[in-house]
Amino acid sequence: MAAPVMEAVEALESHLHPTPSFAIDDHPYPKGQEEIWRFSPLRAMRALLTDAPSDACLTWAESYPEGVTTRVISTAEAQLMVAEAPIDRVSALAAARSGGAQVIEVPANAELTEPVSITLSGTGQHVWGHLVFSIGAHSSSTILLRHEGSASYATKVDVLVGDGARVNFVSIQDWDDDAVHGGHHSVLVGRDAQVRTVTVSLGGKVVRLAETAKFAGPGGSLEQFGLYFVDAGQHIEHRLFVDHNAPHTHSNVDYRGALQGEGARSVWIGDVLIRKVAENISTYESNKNLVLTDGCRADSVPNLEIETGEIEGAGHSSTTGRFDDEQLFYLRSRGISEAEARRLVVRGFFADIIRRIGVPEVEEHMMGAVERELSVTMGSYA
Amino acid sequence: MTFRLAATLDEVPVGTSIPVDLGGDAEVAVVNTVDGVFAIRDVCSHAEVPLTDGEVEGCTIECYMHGSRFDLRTGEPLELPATQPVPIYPVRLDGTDIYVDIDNPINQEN
Amino acid sequence: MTTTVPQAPGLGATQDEHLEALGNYQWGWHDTDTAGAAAQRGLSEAVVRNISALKNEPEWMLDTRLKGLKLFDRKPMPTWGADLNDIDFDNIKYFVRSTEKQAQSWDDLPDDIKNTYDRLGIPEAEKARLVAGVAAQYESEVVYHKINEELERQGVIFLDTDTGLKEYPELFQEYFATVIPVGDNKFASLNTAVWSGGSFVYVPKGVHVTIPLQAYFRINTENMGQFERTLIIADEGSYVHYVEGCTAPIYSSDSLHSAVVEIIVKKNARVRYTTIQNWSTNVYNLVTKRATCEEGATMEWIDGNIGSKVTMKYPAVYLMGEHSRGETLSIAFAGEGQHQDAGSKMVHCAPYTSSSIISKSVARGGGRSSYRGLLQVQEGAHHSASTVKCDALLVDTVSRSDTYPYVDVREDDVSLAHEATVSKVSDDQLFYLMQRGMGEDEAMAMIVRGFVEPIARELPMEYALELNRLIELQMEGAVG
Repeated sequence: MAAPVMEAVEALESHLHPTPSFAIDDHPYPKGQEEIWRFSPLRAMRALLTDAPSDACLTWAESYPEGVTTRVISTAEAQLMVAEAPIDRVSALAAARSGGAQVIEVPANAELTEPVSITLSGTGQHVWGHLVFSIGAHSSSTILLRHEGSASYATKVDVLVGDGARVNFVSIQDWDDDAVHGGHHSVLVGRDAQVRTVTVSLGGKVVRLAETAKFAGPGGSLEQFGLYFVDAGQHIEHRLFVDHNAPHTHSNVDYRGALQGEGARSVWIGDVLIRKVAENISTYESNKNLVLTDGCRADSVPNLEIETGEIEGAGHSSTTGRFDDEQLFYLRSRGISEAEARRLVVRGFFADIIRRIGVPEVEEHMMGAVERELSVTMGSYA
Repeated sequence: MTFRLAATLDEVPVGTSIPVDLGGDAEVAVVNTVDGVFAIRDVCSHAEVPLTDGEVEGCTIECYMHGSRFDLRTGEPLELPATQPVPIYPVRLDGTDIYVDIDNPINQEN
Repeated sequence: MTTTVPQAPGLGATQDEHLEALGNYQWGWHDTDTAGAAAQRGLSEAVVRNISALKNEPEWMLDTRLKGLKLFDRKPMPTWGADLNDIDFDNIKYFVRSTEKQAQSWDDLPDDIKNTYDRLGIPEAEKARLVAGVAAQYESEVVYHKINEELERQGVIFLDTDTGLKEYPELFQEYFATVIPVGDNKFASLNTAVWSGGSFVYVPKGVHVTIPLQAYFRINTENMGQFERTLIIADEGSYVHYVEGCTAPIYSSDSLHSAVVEIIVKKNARVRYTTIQNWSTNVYNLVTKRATCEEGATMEWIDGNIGSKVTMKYPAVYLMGEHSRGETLSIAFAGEGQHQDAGSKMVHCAPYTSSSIISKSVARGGGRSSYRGLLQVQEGAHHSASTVKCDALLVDTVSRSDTYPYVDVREDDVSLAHEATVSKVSDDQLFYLMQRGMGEDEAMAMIVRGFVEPIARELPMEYALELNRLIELQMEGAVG
């Protein structure tokens, strides 16, 4: 068979990516120096890393447009319906201990005008969760997955996008201050599919999401947008990995964050791998961090690994700083006060991401949330 | 001031250190030296690895990972690559019991 | 001992001979190896004690070496970079003594050593007074060393490191292993245990050394590790440009080069350190280089990586004083069988500090070039600014290029930007040049030269010329 040979040839010579696996033993309890764990607050994440049973669930509030169906599958079935096997211990435990996966299906050729909306809320319980979104071929949809309240939540989310489908997958982490949320979101982009993901992380003591994507065939296009606002004592970590494993694919990543307050910590990892087979692809990754006060720490690591010279283009950029002085100067020269100018700059910075959500009431809600965050260090908006 | 029992002297012979969990955001290294007993946050300020994995040399503890030594009296690094101090804590001896107050680091300004 | 003579693949050559020739180091040669033949292989406490005893070192240096050995044994091999599995530490000669006494003049050198240096062009350089002083490292010890009299009058110290320890013990002990501690990494520990040779440079306050100090490093014994140790101290307001060039003969099995370079740049001083590394393609080149900058000081690394089987090297600058500045210009060529894992680290520890890293890499023929860097701003280093720009050029479909930057910011009032692009040589460019009568190889070499030109122009003239020649050699057969 050709496939195993190809797999062997394509065996990854990289320290960045552990081999995905459902077996918990393949993901030993981290010591802290491992490449994928060296930025993470292991003590705060202990419950998500410890193999202990829990039957608790989050409370679901869902709204499904006509045609969308849901069902529960067993843990064994879920291992076959997967974009990628778990990439870390948290998601491996989530898949193994969740007692099965909730599947949400968008039928082939459906043109959904309303979003598939799921809000998960917690009241402090410890939860293992596994969700599978199956997006039918040539369908068009928006998925909204919101997290609220308080929980210790380990999750595995698979998004299987059929050939030619268009999907906008929005995940919002708007937890209370004491929540701890870790897991793995994986996307499989079908042939010629157009996938956009928007990940917004605002609340929670710890949010640590691995977001991986790969392609099921040529021609797929992936856009990933992210926004995070990190307050004092918060740790927000997004670990992206785009695996260009098929030719003529395209990816674009744009994550933006702001940090304020003592001990605010953000981590952004943007790994891109361009395999030998992935000729004529293009990719660009961008991460921008605004550090608003002292006492914060922003880590930004855009890694790029390229195994073929036959590409259209590849690049990345990372900027970290306070404010764009030129923008500030421009606004102030038009008679806008410094405080107001700063606020406008931050709003503009995030508005570019928020408008990608594509659901007006959620966009408004998110702009409001950014506004509230800003009032912490810049005074209320009045 | 909350001094908590961290260890007893027989658990930490001179020239050694042990990690102790006193409930803070990180463990505390209790270090016994010829110059007395010291307590320092058990996390190197450079690569965030446990200092108790390194060697005790005179009145210093050396990070095993990249070799910076920290003065146990001040928490300051004596050479690169570490450049930032590590918090050190007040220690009180009662017989052979070692008490440490992690709420009031000695070398933090605020 | 066998010697391998570089051989151009002729028409009548067999495929094996072609392959053999491909692996040959273009400028490699090999002298008789009387000094290295008897040296002991493998590392042990006895070897380390023996090195220290032979050099008549003070007790503290022996203790430091033994600590290095202990930490080397304890530390795991790094797994995050290049593949180092083929290094056989038991099969390396850790110390080779070439002559009993250091030569005082060129005529004192043994003929075979003079022959080697003739091929490197050192005497010509001396005659032309292009170089301020030449500390030529032959095997593990500097055997020839002559310093420009004018420099001596200025109080500049330019010695091999062993002599530096003997003649300036206090100055030496004050700075040795303070920038790169014994336990910094596995290979720095190894170097500390068995170091030999290297340069010891001290530039007094306010002295500007106007011509570059040059040292040539060479390995000439099969499987001989070379563990030179360089310590440069630029006192307040001084300036020096130190140039390190490496070429090595070819060997039949793997060699290890593991140097440590520590540089202290005091208040308002400026140091430029230039390396064009061109080890033969069986050498593991695992080097730790780091500088500290006091207030207003500037450190510049110009780092070219062309040879070696594997290079792992990330020259670092710790900006400890206000308004200090660090710069790195880096170029790497990775050809067949080569992995250049190079980059730079800038650590901002004080306010108003600035840094820039410009990296250009070319991978061809299945080689792999990786940029690995760190940009860190510590708490309190407000008003820091840094830019990092990495460009990689891919000329075929079998080579690999990676970028592993790391940006870590712990201060709010800063401005940092990292940017990387990877591109291939465009068919349009090639077509245009070939239309003007150039062969494809020639056109490709021209494009590559243009790509690295921003760095080449920072090199001393003779190095820029050598770099251009090396690019042409590297690009031969790159097309098709």
